[in-house]
Amino acid sequence: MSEEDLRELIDPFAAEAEEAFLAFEATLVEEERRLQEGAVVSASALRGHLPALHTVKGNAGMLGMAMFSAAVHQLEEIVKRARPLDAAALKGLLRLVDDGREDLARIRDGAEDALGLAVWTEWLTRLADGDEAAGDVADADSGARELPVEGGDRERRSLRVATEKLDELQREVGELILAHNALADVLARELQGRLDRGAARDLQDAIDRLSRRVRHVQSATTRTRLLGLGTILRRVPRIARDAAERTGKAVRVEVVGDEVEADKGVVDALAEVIVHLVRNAVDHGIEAPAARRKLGKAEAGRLTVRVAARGEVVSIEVGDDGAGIDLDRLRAKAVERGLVDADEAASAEEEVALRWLFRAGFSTRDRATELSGRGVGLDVVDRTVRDLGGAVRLEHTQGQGTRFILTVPVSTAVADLMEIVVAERAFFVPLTRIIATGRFDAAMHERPGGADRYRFRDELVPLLPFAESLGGKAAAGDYLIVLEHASGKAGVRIDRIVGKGQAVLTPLGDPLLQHGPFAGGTVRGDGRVGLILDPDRLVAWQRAVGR
Amino acid sequence: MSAKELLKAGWGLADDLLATIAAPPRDRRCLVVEIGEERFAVPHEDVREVVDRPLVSPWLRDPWVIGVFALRGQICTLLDPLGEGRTRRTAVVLAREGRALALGVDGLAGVQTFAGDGWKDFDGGRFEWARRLFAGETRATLWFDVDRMLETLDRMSDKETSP
Repeated sequence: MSEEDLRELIDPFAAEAEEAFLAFEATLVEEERRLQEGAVVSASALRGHLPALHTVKGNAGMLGMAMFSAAVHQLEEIVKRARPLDAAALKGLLRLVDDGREDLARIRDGAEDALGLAVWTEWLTRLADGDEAAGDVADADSGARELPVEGGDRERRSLRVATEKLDELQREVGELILAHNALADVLARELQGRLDRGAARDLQDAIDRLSRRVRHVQSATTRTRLLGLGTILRRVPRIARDAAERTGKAVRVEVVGDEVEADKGVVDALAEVIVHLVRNAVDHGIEAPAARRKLGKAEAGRLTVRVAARGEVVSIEVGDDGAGIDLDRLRAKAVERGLVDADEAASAEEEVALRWLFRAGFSTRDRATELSGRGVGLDVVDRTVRDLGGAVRLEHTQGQGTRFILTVPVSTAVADLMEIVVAERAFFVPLTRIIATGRFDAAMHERPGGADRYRFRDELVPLLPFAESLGGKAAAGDYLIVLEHASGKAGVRIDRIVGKGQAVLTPLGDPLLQHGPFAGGTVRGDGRVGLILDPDRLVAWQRAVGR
Repeated sequence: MSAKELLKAGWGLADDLLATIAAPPRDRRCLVVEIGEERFAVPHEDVREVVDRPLVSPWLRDPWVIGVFALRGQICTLLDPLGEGRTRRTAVVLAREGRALALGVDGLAGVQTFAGDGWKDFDGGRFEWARRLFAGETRATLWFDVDRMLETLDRMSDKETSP
């Protein structure tokens, strides 16, 4: 086997091994929780992972990774023989999983074999010390060989495909849609009135059939890229457990919806977000056991991660039953950090005040030590979700808990867009970022301190001079669109709304376009690029260019 | 031994000084384009394809970016090499890995091979990326240094996006 052929096999091998480790880890965390509640660790639950680990060992050996294969073999031996299965044993096994995962990352990065075996050796020494007694410990729950092996069936029904190949397929389907739209556009424009009624109807029927097939192909292609969020959610108990251990807290985790699927790009982006929110809930939401006792709460805090699919949107809720958010403290910090003045802090609606938590540096600055090594703050959570075309909402009840509600599209390749016209130019806006549209009412237009504002639902919303920036007339546009952006709402006067629809999204790849107000583009039926406004970028761009 | 090697061996000139000595000219096959009143030679290896009358969606208040157009599933950026923000009829798509960029030109004058020793140094005038000139029998052709132009535009863009 050539070096190149070998490297091609590494990714599927590493993905399979990671899945095996992830599933094993989830069982270890669950068994640790049961043990803390006084139950006996189920040896058979751990042994249920032996077939998957055995496959990983075999594949590693086949790929010439002798050390990695030997290490997994030792892990198998530990699972088979280690007694007693106490808290220390489970903790040691969790460390082995971490080491195995690190080794996989190194192998993916080009290492030929496992390197981080120090902890394995340490553990094996401990095992050897207790090995004499291992056989004497009765295993009341020994049914490993009879356990159903799910892995084999799954493998036969699925096929690992390189992401690049799926990307290429999706690009080609995007091209097919464009070609179809262009054809339908030309036929409608050029042939209208030239054909007799029967021929026109036949032609229209053929176009409709083609449209349906194209939509089905698009939908099927999108589905091939869908991954279960289970790959992230299965990590949640471990992440919560580690955070609780570090902070001296106790947590019970409930995860719902790991069968929900989303595009691989969405799942990858959400991984970091969910990890952060889970740690955030343990660190800052859930109180220490003593404090909870005093409050009459159960010592172990409750952390819930619920994922659900609603049509083309996935919602993710990360909630806890902790302290909630101290709004007085939040207002004081906003003033202290110069975000708002004292009057504005005092008068801001709760919804507005909660958005301050998503400003860069706001939530973590004075807790840098505590949070060191996290990598992301709530501002990054917000930015990531927005970049996916979604939104984050925060709900809380003081003393009773906090809930982050994220909504993201299932796929970023296709989005629901509204087409608008501003200064005689057409643009698109993601529907998820539109709060309201309507006729512009001059009576609602105010200019406090010379700044254009629009009174919208008892709130004064800034009006962006987008039409003027495009060379249009000042104060033009009979309609108004209210957009949601990172730090609030903004209004834009527009000429008209053309309509709504789904479109294939294409990124604006070149760095020269990054400073504009657009998130990407979509190729319209006439072959032109329709530019998609990103409210966050629009606000920043407008600030930079003025009028 | 090359002239550079001789220089280095004989006088031990520092590498950075050697790097300032221009590479010897060589014969170059170029696409000759017309932009405004000027004629430019774009190296053949820098050109991926030519698109006549692309359907351009105009960009915003940037004299160097005319707009964007769709090119086989990608959004291609159309540049105005003269920075006049003018729409030009033909797009010369550049061969640049990972980037979808095109030069907006007014016309194509053909493909021509220029002798390496025919180029004269030129101060660039208002074209910072045209530092050589080929004096032809009827009119001069300016050397279009694509890398230099992109570096300049990227630098300007970075300034614009930095806080």
